[in-house]
Amino acid sequence: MQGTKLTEPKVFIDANILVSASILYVGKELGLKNGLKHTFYDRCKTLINIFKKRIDDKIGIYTKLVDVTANRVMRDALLSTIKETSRNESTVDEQKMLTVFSVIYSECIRRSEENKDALVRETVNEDKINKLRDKAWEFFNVTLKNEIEKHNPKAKIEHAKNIKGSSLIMRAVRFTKIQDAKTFSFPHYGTLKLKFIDSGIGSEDLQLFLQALYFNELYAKQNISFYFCSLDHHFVEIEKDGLVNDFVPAQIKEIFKMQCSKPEKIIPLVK
Amino acid sequence: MDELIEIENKFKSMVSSGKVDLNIIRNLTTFKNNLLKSKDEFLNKKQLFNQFPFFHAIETQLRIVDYLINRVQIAPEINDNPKVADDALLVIPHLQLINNALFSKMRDPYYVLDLSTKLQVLAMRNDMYPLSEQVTSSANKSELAAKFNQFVEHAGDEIDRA
Repeated sequence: MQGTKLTEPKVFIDANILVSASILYVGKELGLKNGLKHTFYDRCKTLINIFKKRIDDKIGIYTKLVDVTANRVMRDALLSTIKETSRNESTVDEQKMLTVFSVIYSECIRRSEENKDALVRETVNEDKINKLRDKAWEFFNVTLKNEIEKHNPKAKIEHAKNIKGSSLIMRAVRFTKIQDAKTFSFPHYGTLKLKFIDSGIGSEDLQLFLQALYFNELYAKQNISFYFCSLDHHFVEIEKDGLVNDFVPAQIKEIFKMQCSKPEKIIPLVK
Repeated sequence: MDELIEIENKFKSMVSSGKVDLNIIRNLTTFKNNLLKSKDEFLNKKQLFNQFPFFHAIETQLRIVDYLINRVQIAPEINDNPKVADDALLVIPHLQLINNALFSKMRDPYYVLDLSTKLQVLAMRNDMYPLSEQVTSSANKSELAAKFNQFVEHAGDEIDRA
């Protein structure tokens, strides 16, 4: 094994991981664990806790962009809550409510900072990132778009609808075939269509992806395993109602040789 | 904010002399009272919810000033000087900055909110921000719980939209 150095993996976290882990923490302290609607909060915090436990190994990394985005997400969520309160609760004591919002914001910022203590803030080489931009842009806006469109179940549904026969059995077969075409041939097609065909990737998400690619190339040269951890379906699999679609992360792995995963998939790899 | 300049000078003297100047508490209290007065002015405005960034900027400063007053008060007992003065001197320029932004004619709510976050982080890193329990105790627990759940939903929406 001469010349081979055992190195720890690196995990670049998306802003949504930082936000989720920070919010959960506050909720738990307020005794609101059961009130939380997003189950992935627990997993995000577990991942951050592993980084904290293994702080010497410097596994978890983030960038200024992640930091800025996480703060923006928390700020926008709070401002939306304030707007909603102002719209729907006309009799509320506004003064008291402003104090409540100020406390929530303060505590989320506190937890976010504590979480960042378990991570290493890395810088990126913008010149190298810019060289990756065209390929990544084409991947999301042309390649993936076209590939997902190919899986449009419309043709299969039409085909199933054309199955002839009016007997009870044939009607059941037709119904099952239509349902299969809608659900199983390419699960969550609708979500992917919305993400990649109807709206496309936003500039902030693309920039995060480029930073992940930059780290992926950097650590590959050093023979270090690298993972991009996110909750965003632009990068990771969709898992809902017992059906999984990992088309997007599989394409990313094939084309960019980068592994994008949710926290629960990364936790066993870095434990 | 002339008060801040006087406070800064007194903390500088505390560093050079190594002695706690308890008179600084009077200046800090004046600064605090000015903030409370500004808070009242904001609270008298219409469409109060739109004032949140400015309200939060004042609340953040009040938390820091209260905490600082307490630290200065106990500094002679626990030999916290010049540490307390050094920590304060790191935060005071940012208090100056946030107040300039808060009271400028062209104040930008997003910028003020961003400055509040930076101020809080700086204060936390330098033992100038109260503990979680102290901050949360200023709000009604059941209202806090209700609004927190709403906030979580919106945060989830923000994440899903990403």
